[in-house]
Amino acid sequence: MSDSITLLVEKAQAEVAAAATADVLRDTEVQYLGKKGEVTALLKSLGGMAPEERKAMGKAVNDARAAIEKMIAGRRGQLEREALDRELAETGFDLTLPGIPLPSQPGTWHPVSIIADRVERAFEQMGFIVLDYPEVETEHYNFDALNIPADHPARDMQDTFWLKNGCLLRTHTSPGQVRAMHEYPLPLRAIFPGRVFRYERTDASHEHTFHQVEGLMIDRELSVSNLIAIMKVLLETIFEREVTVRLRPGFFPFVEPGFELDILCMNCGGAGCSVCKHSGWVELLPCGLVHPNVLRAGGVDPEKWVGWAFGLGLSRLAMMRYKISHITHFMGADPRFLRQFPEGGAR
Amino acid sequence: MKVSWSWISRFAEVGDIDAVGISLRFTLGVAEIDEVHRVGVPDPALTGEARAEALSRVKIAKVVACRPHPQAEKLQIVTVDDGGGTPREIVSGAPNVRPGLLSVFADEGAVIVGKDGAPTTLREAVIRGVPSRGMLVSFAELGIGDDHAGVIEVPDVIAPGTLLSAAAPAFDDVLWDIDNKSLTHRPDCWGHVGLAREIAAMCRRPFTWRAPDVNFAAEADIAVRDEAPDLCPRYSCYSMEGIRIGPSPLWLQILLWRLGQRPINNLVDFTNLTMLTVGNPLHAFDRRQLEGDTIVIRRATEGEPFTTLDGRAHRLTAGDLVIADARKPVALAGVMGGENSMVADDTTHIVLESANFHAGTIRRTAVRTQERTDSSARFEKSLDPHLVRDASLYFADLVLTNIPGSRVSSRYEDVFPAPPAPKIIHIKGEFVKRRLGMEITAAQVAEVLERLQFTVARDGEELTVTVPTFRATKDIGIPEDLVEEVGRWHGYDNIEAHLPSVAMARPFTLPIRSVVRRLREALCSESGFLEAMTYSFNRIEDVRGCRMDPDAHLWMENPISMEEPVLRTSLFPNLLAAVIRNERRESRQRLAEFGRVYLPDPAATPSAREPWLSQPRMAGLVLSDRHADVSDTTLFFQMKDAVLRGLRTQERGNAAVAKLVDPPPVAHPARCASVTLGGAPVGWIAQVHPLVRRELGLESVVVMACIDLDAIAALPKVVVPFSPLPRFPGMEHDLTALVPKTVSADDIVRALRDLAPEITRDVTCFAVYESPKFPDRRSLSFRLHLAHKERTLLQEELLELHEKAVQTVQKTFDAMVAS
Repeated sequence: MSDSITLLVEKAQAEVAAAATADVLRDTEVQYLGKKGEVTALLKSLGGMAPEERKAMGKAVNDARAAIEKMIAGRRGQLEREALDRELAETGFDLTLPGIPLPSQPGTWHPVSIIADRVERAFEQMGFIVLDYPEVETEHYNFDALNIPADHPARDMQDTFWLKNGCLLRTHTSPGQVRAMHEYPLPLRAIFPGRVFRYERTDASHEHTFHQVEGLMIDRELSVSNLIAIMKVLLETIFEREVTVRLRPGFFPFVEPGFELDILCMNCGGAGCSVCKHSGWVELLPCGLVHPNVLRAGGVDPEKWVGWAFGLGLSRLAMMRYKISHITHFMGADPRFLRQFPEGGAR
Repeated sequence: MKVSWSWISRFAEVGDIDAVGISLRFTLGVAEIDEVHRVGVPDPALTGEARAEALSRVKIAKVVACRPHPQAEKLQIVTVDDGGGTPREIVSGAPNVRPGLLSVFADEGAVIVGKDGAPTTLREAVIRGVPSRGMLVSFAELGIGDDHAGVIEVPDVIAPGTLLSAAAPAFDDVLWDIDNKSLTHRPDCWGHVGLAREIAAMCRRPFTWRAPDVNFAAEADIAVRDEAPDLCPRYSCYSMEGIRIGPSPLWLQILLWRLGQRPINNLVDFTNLTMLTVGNPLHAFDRRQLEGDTIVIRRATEGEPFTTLDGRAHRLTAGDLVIADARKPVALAGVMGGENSMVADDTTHIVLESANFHAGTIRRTAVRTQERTDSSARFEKSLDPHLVRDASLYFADLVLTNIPGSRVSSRYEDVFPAPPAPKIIHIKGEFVKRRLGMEITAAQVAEVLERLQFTVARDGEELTVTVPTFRATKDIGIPEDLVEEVGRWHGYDNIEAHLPSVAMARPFTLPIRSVVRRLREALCSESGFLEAMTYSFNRIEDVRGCRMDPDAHLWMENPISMEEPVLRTSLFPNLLAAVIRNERRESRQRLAEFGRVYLPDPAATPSAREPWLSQPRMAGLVLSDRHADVSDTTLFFQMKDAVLRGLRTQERGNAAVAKLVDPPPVAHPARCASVTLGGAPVGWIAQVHPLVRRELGLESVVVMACIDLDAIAALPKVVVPFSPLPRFPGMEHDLTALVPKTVSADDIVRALRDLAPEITRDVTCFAVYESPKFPDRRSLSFRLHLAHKERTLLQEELLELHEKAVQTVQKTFDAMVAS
C-alpha cells in the first residue's frame, strides 16, 4: 500500500509540473484532492484495516495529501508569476501607434468649476485679476498675518487640520490677501478661488473640504457702499436675476468693520422656507474693509490705502444654484451626479 | 448664548417691546441670533388669548393630604390646595409627593409636554377608577429643562394659587439664542446687563442697571498677594458667613433652566447667575479648606499636580495661572476651582473670588487641559476689569437677600494695581463718511457714539472719543472700529450702493489659469470626460494598493479619520477608488480631476513664512472599461488621442508621446508612455499595473494619464506660423503592410517621409489591424500626403515612390505588403 502512495505522489508531481494553465491545474487538483479524488479514495479504503495498520497508513496518506497540496500551491504561484511576467514583459506594444478618437459623448464640468468660472469671468470683466495660492499654508499666512494671533478666540472659528511637519491646510482663502499684497503693485483688484479645509465632521451641509473664492480690492478711496455694490453685481451675474442683499455686523479679525452679507432667499422670496431656515434670508458671505493690521502685514500703508475683502463659498453657491441637498456629493466622483451639469464654462 | 428677555427687562426699560420683533434689529445691528423661542406654553400654535388662558392654568399649589390609591400600589390620591378655596383631589404617581409639599399645579386646560414630547392639553382623566383633574408637574412636563425625576419642589414661600408666570417671570418668556461666534469680539455682551445696555441704546430706552450697595465689614479675613499682575490685573475677594446651602428659589431655578444651566444649589446658582447677569465669572471657596490667611496668585510650577472640581487630575505647566493658599493651589485661575476647596452641603463660611485674568493665558490653559468652561469662554474674550467689583456686589446682594442669617464678614480686598488708562481715539467725521460711503456729519457721528456710551468732545470735524471701559479691552481701539459702530447703528441697509470708480489696469492672466481652462475645455467639454473632485487625503491601503510608500507622504497631525492620515502625492489612489465605487453601475468611465498634490521636500528647511513642500497642480485622467480584456490596448490609444488633442490647445509646441524611462509604480511598466509638449516631458499615460489592479480589487481595465499643469505653464508660448497653401493639386497615397510587432509605426513613418522629401508633405499611420492568424504581426496603414511646390505631380513619380515605399518596408522592416 505504501508503494502505491509513493507512486501516486510521483504521478501527481509530474502532472502538476505539466499543468500549463491555471485551469489545467484546477482539474489536476480535483483529480487528486476532490471528493472523488484519488487521495480521498485512499483515505476511504483505510476503513477496512486493523487499528495498528490504519494508524500508520493514515499518517502516510495525510502526508501525501499535504505534499500534493503544497505542490499545487507552488505551481499556482509560479503560473501567476509567469502570467504577470508575460503581461509585463510585453514586447509587441508600440506607443507610436495612432490614437483612437473616443466615441463622442457629452462631458461635463464639475458644478464648483462652473460656478468658479462664472465668478472669475464676472470679476475679470470688472478688471480683477485671478490668482491661485497654495492649499498647504503656514500659521503665519493663515492666522498671524490676518490679525489672528495665537490664543485669539477667533481661532476657534476655524478648526484646523495640522500636518506633522508643522504646516497646516488653509482654513480659508484669506491667506491670499497678504500674499497678493506682497506680490502685486497697488492699486490691486484680485480674486483667488480654491480649495479650503476645516477640521469638522461631514454631514448634509458640512464638509471638511470645500471651495471658496476670496476677493480683495485695495485703492486710495473705497467704501462700504462700493463693497455692497460689487457684491450685488456679482450675485446678480451669477444668478442671472435681481438679488436683494443685506449687510449685518459680523466679526472677523481681518476686517474692520466686518459684515455678514445675506441675500433674500431665492427659494421663497423671503416668505420663509426650509432653505433659509424660515428666516427669509440666507447667509452667504463674510466681508468687510481690510483691517489696518492686515494691510501692514502685506506691507501696505493703511494711512494711504484702503481695502475691502470678501470670502464667498463656491460650494455653497453651487448648492444654491442647482438646489443640491448634500454637500458631500461634490467630492464623491459619482458619474450619476457629475453628468447633471452640462453647461460648461461661462460664455 | 441663551438670553432671557424677562431678565433683560430687569436692567433696561424695554419690557413693553416685542422681543421677537426686536430680535431682527439686534441681528442687523449687533450680533446674529440663531433662534428665538417663546416659551411657557409648549405648543407654539397657541397664541394670544388661548395662550394666556393656558398659562393661567399653571399655578403654585400645596399638597394637603395623601392617601393610597385603592387600585394601584404606586399611585396616591392627593388633596391639593390650589388657592381656589376648595381643596381638590388628583391622582399622582410622582415619588416625591407628600403632605406639606409646595409644588406647581397644572389645571385642566393647561398645556404640558406629554410623554411622547408633544404638547398635550390637560383634560379630566380617570386613573384606575379614580377621577383626576389637573396634575402636579415636573420641570420637564412644563417644558423647562430635562428634569422629570419628580414634581417640582418649591423651596421658597409662595402663596398657593399664585400664577407660575407671576412667581417666575422666566416661565413665560422669550429666549434668544445668540451665535457665540458673533460675540467673539464683544466681551461686554457675555452677560444680560451688557446686552441690556446695547438693547437700550438700540431702542433709545433708559438703561437702568446699577450695582447694588453692600456694606462690607471692617475686619480682614484673608489677604491677597498677586505675584503675577501681568496675568491677573485685578483680584478681589471677601468672606461671607451664615451661609446655608439649599435649593435656589423657584424663579432662579426656572431662569437657570431657561439659560441652559442646571440648578445645583443656591450658592453655585448665585455665582452662575452673577456670571450670566454681570458677565464676570466668580468662584466661591469653602473657607474651611483654605489654609493660612493669604490667597496667592501665581504661575503654576512645571508639572504641578492639580485636580479640578470635576474630578479630573491635571499636570500644570509654567504657563498656567493658579490661585493658591498657604500650601496648595486651590483653583486653576479663570478656568475651574479645585476639588480640594469646593463648597459642600455643610459649608457656612465662604471666600468669594471676583477677578480679572489675562485672556490668552486662560485660553491656552483651557485648551490644553480641555476644560472649556463658561468661565474660560468669558475670560478669553478679554473682560473689562471694572466688572470685578460689580460682580462682587451683585453676588453679595443675592446671598443677603435670599439666605436669611447670612452676612458679609470681611472687608473687600481689591488688588488692582494698574487700572488701564482711558482709551482715546481721534477721528474726523469725514473719515467715517468716506469709509462708509454715506453722507454723515461729525455731529451725527458724535451723537451715535454718545448713545453707545462713548464720551465725545467735538471740535468741528475733529472728534476726541473716549472709549467706555467695557468696550476698551479688545473690541474698540482704532478709528475703523468707530466706523463700524456708526455703520451698524445707522443700519448698513441705509447705505446706498455705488460701484467704485477706479483707474484702468493692465490686463493680466496667470498662465496656469489658461492652461487649466483650456485643458478642461478640451477634455471635459469636448472629449466627454466628467470632471470630478476627490479629497486631498489618502487612505493608507489605497496608497499601498497603488504600490506607493506611505512614508513618502506628508502625514496629518489630526486626520479626520485614522483611515485617511496622509496627503495625496498622486491623484490616482482616490481616482481609482472612485472607479471601483462606480464600476458596478458604470461599465465605462471617463473621469478627470484637476487638483494639487502635496510632495514632501526633504531638502526644504522649515520657515515661518513659506510652507516647506511642493504642491504642484496636476490633471489626473482615467478611462475604464469593465468589459475590456486586459490585453486590449484600445483604451490606451483612446487616452493618447484625448491627451494629445488637449495638449495641442496649449500653444506650447508639438504634443507627442515617447518612451517612459522611469514609470511610476502605479503604471504598467510596458504599457506606458511619456507625454511631451514642445519636447519637454509634461506627464505620462499608462495602463494600471496588474498588481495594483489585483491589490485594489479593480474589475475594470483602466488607463490613466497624469499631466503636470505647472510644468506646462512654465513652458514658453509657441505660436506656430501659418504654412502657405499649395499652389498645385496634391494627392493622397495609401500603403498597408503586415509589420512585425517589434517594429514601431513611427520608424516606418519617418522612413517613408525621407523617400521623396521634395514631394512628401506628411505621412501618417491611420489604421491598425491585428489578426489571430498573424500573432506576431499587425497590419498598419499609412497615408502619404503628396504635393509638389512648383508643379503638378507626375504619374511616374507616384509609381516610383510606391515601389520605393514597398521595398523599404519589406527590406528595412521585414514587412509583408499585399500587392
